[in-house]
This record gives sequence, structure tokens and C-alpha cells, in this order.
Amino acid sequence: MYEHLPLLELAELIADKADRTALHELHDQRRLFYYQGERALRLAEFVDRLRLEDRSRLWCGGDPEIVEKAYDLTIGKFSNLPLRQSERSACSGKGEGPDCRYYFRAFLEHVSKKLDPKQMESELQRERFVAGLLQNLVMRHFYLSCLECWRSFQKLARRYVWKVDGYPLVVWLPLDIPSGSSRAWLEANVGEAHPQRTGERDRVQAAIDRITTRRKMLSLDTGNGVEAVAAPDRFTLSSEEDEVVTDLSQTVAEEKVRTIRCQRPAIQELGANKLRGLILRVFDDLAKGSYEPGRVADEVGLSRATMSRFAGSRWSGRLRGAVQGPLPDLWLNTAKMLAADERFMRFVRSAGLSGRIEQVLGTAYSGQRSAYE
Amino acid sequence: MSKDLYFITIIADALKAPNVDEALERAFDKIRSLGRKPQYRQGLLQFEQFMHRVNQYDEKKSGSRQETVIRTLMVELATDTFEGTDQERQAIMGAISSRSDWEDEYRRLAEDVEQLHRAPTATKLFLLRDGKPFGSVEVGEDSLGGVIDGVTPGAYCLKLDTGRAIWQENLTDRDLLWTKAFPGKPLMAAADAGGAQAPATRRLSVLGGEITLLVFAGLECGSIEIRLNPSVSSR
Repeated sequence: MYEHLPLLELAELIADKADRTALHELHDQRRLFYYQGERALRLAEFVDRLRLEDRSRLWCGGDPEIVEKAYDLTIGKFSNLPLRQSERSACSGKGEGPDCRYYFRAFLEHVSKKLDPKQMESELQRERFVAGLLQNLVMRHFYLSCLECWRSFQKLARRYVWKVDGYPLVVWLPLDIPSGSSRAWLEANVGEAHPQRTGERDRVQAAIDRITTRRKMLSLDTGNGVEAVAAPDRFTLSSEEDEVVTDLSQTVAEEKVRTIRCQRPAIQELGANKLRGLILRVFDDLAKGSYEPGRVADEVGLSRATMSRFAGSRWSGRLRGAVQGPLPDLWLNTAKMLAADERFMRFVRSAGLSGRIEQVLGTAYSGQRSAYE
Repeated sequence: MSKDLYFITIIADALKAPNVDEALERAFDKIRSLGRKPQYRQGLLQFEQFMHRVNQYDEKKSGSRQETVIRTLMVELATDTFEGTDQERQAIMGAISSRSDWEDEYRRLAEDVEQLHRAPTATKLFLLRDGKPFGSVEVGEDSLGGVIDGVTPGAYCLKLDTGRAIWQENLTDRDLLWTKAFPGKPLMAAADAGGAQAPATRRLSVLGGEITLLVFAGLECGSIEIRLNPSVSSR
């Protein structure tokens, strides 16, 4: 039915009319992509080649699982149409994810900027040129998918629920934007949002990424290095939005559970629920002043050695010696969570504690007295 | 309070306070103050190591963000999807050039993206009969087309290598068999061989005249010549 249509018309049908037949034609029949001399590939085949590149691993922090997620997300960006009303009731929960209309609309806008039909009257050349633009855009979105999957894993950004007229819009914000100022920042920089609109989340996220990237780029240009994406002075903190780390034990527990597959085998064997319970128990015992790692290990069925590496209470070999033992996993994770909390780090920086602690450590590890004594 | 880890609880409590900044200030004072007592010395030492880690993570985080921004811009530049001004483009290139590792990464990326696009210079046109591959010719700078022989009546479709169909039609006896196309006329030698000199039974213009299809009749089967019209395709 659509086999005669040029690529641009297919994209228009998808973007403007959510035409599924056009979408199938583009994905199943069109071989628009080239990869290192291979014969022309379909979109999914091309993204699969990108997935297998070493560079993709680099973009995903070396984690093959994140690469897989980035692959799925990219395919979703170019193939996922929201379900029709009738379909939605039949399969609740399905059909969520990116809306490909947004991406095809962006593609059409990109083409309108790059292609001058008067300069390129040949349809053969035009079809190939437009396919090349789509290939570039797919590659860029594959990178952005890697970034999104990676940052959701790494917490380089934080999830923020922007409520507009009572409707939620879930976006990722850079940690530089103070948590209490998220709404003000979004309103000032993104402007109006309409959560009920199809593809709105993608539009807003793209706007955030564009703005934050631009600001950082300008910052680079002025030779200031990559600084905060927005001057924190412009914002005031509101306590109801201070949600980065309010409950340290819960935050650390959730993070550990989320990354359970990266834990030591014995910890993984506990399973998510037991691990969460163990961490909350450790924090609770600490608060009560009754923490004894050996006893907890016996109770949860871990070896004392494993417990010591996981949440030992004493890791420094000698009080005044030069020996520094490795921090147990749980405390490393706690340190990481605190480093991600902008309020905590702002205090540490403003109090001059970062430099001071480095100074202190420099002396403490060489066997001298601590500056805190 | 567990003395070796006393700082954890103090920090955790501070984060729950309504005024976190003030609470943290008090918390750190308390950590220092307790740390002066002999029974907390081990804890203080561990606090220092712990904070050292916090700072390392913070530095790593800043570094990661910087890498992320630069890498995003590199991808946009390499894929020509960057939407900033020329001045901004130059500024980014300047920033990339300021570090040899960034410069190397960008150069490799740009080369790879170019390599990815290295499509054949010619366009392959596929002829399908009843939906199945039947033959192909290449058109481009070095080739203006070719002839596909052995064409018998059926449903034919000509597709670009991208999968887009540019012509679709049924060809019949009258298109492909000499006795039906030119009844009573003697068979020309070239037509017998499916050559191009014989009169075409059909002349079809596709893609706005960029491609011409010529259908020839033969004794038992016909042929299709596919021609690129350079004057149109180079416009």
C-alpha cells in the first residue's frame, strides 16, 4: 500500500497520523541504513550493529546490560506508537514508553533545515540524502539512549516528577539543579508543559538535555570549566522538594537492592527483600548503638568474613598507623549516596571540609595526629 | 551509639532535619567533638576516610558530567545534528581541541560516522516478478543502467535498494512476445536476442523521468532495459 512512498512521506504519515502501516513499511521493507560497507540495512539491523560496537560499551560504562537497554530504548523511540483508546483498555500497562511520532517529527524538522529541494531535484539523490539524515539521527538517539540508561543507573541525574495542573510528568534533571528549585528551573527554562499531550515527556526531556548541554558548552567556552548548569543563587530551597536523601538508610537500601546483581555472590543470594531488611537493620542497630556485625551475620546466615566486607564496623587496620583498609561495601555506597546529595555536598564545600579533609587525611595517613583532635 | 561508625547516625539524623544546612553544621561539630574522646578516635579516623571517599565520588561525578556534555556535543557534531550557531560550533571545537583525549575521541567518532555512511556510489534497482527477486541493475556515475532478459508475462515491480517501489505493473504477451506485439511483422534479429535496438513495446518514465524503462518483445520472452537519465538525475 505504501511501498511507493518516499521516506519523507512515510515519516509524515507516522508523525502526523500515527499511521501504523507506514511504520511497518518503514521498519520491515525499507533498507535505509549503511554500516561499514554492508548492504543496506533496516533500522533495527543498523541499531544492532551500533549495539555491538566497542564505543557503545564505553557509552554505557562497560555494562552490556545497559547497552541492551539502550538498544531497546532506541528501537522504541522509532517504533513505539501509543495504543489507541480501545487497545489501551485491553492491555493495561502496555504501550508505554517513547512515542515515535515525536522522533519522526524531529526528523522532519531536521530534514527541512538540511534539505533544499531546489538544490537537489533528483529523487534518487534526495531519497539517499534523507536516509542519511535519518541514519545520523538514529545514531544520535542511540547515544542519547545509552546516556539515559547509564544515568538512570548511575544517578548522574535524578528523576523528578513535575506536576503540571495536577498531571505528573517524569523527567531526568542534572544533579546541578538544586532539588528544591526543580520546578522553578523547569518553568524558567522549558516554559509551558502539557503532560496530557502525546510525546510531551520526550519533548520536555529533549529540551532539558538541550538547555543543560548548551549551558555547559558556554561554560566551557568561557574557560570556566564545566560548572553548574544554572546558578544556584537564583533559586531558593523549598523543604517539600528536598527529597534527594532524607532517609539515608532507605536511600542506601534501595540503591543496594537496585544494584543487587553487582554485589558479592553471598549478598546476591540473600535476594532483594532480605538485603533491604539487612541494610535497614544495620542502620537501625547503629542508631541504637547496638551494632555488632558478627551477631547480625549469624542471624541472617552470612559468614562473618562476608559481613565484615559488606558492613564491617572497623576497617582501619591501625589507629595511628599508615594502614588504610578498604571501606566495606555498604559504607562506600553510603558515601556515594551522600556525594550525590547536592545539599550535603554544598555544605561540605561551603564549610571548606573537602580540602580540609584531604589535608587531614594527608597527615593522618602519614601517622600524625588528626587535625580533628 | 556504635563508636566506630558514630558519624553515620549523626549524618543520617541531620539529613532528616527541617533545616538541613544548620543540622549538618551541628552534626559535623558533634562528630569533631566526640572524635576528641579516646573511645571515638577509631571512629573519627574512619570518618575522615569516609569523607575522603565522598569527595572522591563528588569529583568523579563532576568529571563524569563534563565527559557526558562533551561526548554529547561530539556526537551531535559528528552526526551533523548539532543545532547551535557557527560560533558555538567553533567554541565546542576549541574545547575539544583543548584536550588530546577528547580530540582523539572526536576524530575517531567523526571518521567512524563517515565510514558508516560509505554507501555504494551506485544505486541498485531490483526487479521483482510476482513479489520475488528477478534481476537487478545498477545506476550511478559509472553505470547508466542495464538490461534484464528472460522476462515473461507477470506482475513486475521495480524497487530502489532502499526498498521503495518506483514502478509496478503487469506485463502481458503483447508487451513481451513479438508475435503478439507486432503481428505479421518479421522478427528482428536484435529483438530475437532481446537487444535494445528493436522497437520498444513500452516506454515508461519513472521518478519524474530520472529512470526510463523500455520493454522489448522477443520470440519466447522479452526484456526490460532500465536507463538512468543523467540530465535529470544530476539536476
